Amino acid sequence: MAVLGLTAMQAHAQWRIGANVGATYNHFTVDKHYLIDYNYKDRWGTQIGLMGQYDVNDWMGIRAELNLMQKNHTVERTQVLMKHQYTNNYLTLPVMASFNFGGEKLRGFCNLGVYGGYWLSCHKEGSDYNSFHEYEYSFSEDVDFNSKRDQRWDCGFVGGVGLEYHFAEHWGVQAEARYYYSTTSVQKDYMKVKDPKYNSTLALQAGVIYFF
Amino acid sequence: MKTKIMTLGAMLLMLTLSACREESDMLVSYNQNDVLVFGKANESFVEQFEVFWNGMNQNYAIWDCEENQYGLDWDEVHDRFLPLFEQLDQRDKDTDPVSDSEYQALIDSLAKPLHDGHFVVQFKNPHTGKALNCYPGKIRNASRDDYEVSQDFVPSLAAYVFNGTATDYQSGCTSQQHLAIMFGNTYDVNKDMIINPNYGLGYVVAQINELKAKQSPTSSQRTRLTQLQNLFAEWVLYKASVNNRAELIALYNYIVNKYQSLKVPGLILISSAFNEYGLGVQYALLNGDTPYFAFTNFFLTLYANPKYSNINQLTPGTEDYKQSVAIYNAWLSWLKKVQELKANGKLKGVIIDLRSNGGGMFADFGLVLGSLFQPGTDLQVGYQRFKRGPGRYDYSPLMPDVRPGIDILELLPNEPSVQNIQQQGITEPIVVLTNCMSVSMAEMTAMGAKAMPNARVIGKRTFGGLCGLTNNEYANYNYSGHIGIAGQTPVYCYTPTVATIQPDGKTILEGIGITPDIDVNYVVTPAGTDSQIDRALQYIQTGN
Repeated sequence: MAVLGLTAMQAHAQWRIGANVGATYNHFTVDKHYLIDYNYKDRWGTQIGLMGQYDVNDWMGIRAELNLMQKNHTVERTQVLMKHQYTNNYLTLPVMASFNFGGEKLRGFCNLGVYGGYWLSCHKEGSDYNSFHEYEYSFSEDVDFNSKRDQRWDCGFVGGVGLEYHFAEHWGVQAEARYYYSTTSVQKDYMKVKDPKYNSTLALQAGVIYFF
Repeated sequence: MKTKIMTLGAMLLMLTLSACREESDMLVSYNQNDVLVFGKANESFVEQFEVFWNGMNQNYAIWDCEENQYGLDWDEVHDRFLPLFEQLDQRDKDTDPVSDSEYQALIDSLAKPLHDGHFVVQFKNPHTGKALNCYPGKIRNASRDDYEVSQDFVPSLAAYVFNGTATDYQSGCTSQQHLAIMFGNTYDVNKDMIINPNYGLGYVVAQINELKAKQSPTSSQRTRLTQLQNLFAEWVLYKASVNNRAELIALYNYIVNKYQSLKVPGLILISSAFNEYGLGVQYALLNGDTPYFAFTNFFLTLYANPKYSNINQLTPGTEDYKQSVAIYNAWLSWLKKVQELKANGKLKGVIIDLRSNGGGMFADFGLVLGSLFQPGTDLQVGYQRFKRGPGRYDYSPLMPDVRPGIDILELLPNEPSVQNIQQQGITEPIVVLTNCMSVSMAEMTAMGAKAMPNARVIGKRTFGGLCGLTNNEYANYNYSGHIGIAGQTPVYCYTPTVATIQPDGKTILEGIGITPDIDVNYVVTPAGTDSQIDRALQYIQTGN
């Protein structure tokens, strides 16, 4: 029985690899404190990545991805001419348990897991106001990271739901809505005063899979 | 089975998510007199410290400079000083009060490490009610070799007028600047030396010596001698005991009123109309080809710019009116002479004397150095950076620090004497004179000179206060700047809202100042001339 059971499991175990592209929509969580006219706005970005998954059985697998994704946001003021658009590029490595269900060709799935990441670069552009000389200043510049202030390592929880369609024996496509919940503030505790800032990112992605 | 696993996983995830993000501390604004923010600080030393430490943590514009350049750890300062303030709160106000000298010493040690040149902090002793000030920039500069000689220094052109180097001499002086020009710089009480015998205390001493030398003085001469000696004695005696400029002005006006019958030149009452924006200027043409202009503060705009001038609010014929017009005329003469000599090909150079100039309004830049630019141009001298959040490193992008020139005809459309000027940019040597009491706008003007290929800074390194300030009502442009309100809140900090950054995009010279291109100590030469003006003339004439 044990041998039959094991044989049955091994018969379902299979590898799959794939690639995905998509859009991200990032929410920057920050306490405005007394900066009453500051508004932080969510912003779209892009994502591209590779994935590998080991299906333990017909309903569960372990999935890992390597994605280049953007966690962008905008900060602007209502009383002063200022609008900064931040484009933040991250390399992320989500590792998730993948649960799937449904028919032979069309299946639904749910991914749950954790991710690690690294903040590769930051670019900001927009306008600011020089109150001393009273002029509006437009800029577009790469941001130099400040090793005391900026936390470049990122980690958190990730989960998503999606649909998968097997259109050929070894090929399929996927579409997924995924949510990354960072538990790492992008700002280190470089002061006694705690002022953490977090990214929460919705990723809408579609990809192609090859089943071995 | 799989449903149970999935459900359990989702629940665990939800629980974990809610626990994984830190809350931020509650931060408040320290820019206004808010009872909720400052109320407890009226009675508690610790609350005053926390207001100061947190206010500075949020508002101070140059933490990166303090930490990277000077090694200041603001968090360590909190850990070190909090217990000291806690000890003060343990003391009983009636039986064991904290004295002002004790509290002053603690405040000095707390504030001294901060390098912003404008920075002044005021704490009101909860036990005595007295406001105690600390000005770290002044403490820092007091150890400099040229500090003493720069105090209340006003350049004297007397020797140049006497030997014919200076012609067309004009001056104007309102309010407290009378003190420096008329008294402080005419007789050196420390060296017992008459610098200028023609007015002020120098005149008093010269007259005393003259009368004492008379073999047979008349009765009125003896009376005059006695009164002059009394004036001198009272001035020297009481001046040694005054604590601040307000008391000095009061003493001065007392002397003026009591001894007005002596008719000492320059002994003019200081009007309260110019207590805040008093200004002294001097203009002369040196060597027939070098217009020289000196002024004590960047308040020229209130005299020279018709849009902002206070002159029309004064009563013609009064001393205030006469001196204000004299200021305008002296500046205008300098401006016109520069352009006239340039047009005739006879301009050798220009000297702008900013020694012991305490700074003031940004708009004055255009009236002085900016008036020498090619018309229609401005000059980037570096960068400015503002606070953009409550974090110590929350900064704006670097924005160009651009200084404007002026169009003389646009500035003075109703001034007949300038209507025929074909304004030209000055390419001849320009010298800006500085010393350790050249502060704020004086230093920012010297910074402008550094950015001009034909300009040189001569003299001594400036004070180190280049970062700009605005009033509290503008604080929310950048959510930075002053902490509290002077005289109202138990803690007050006068601190900039913008960091001034050098053309390399990195260097902040706060606490250091502008280093002159040619370093020259100030001495009065045996001929009575000014060593730094002499060096400026040498540079203009020889290029060295």
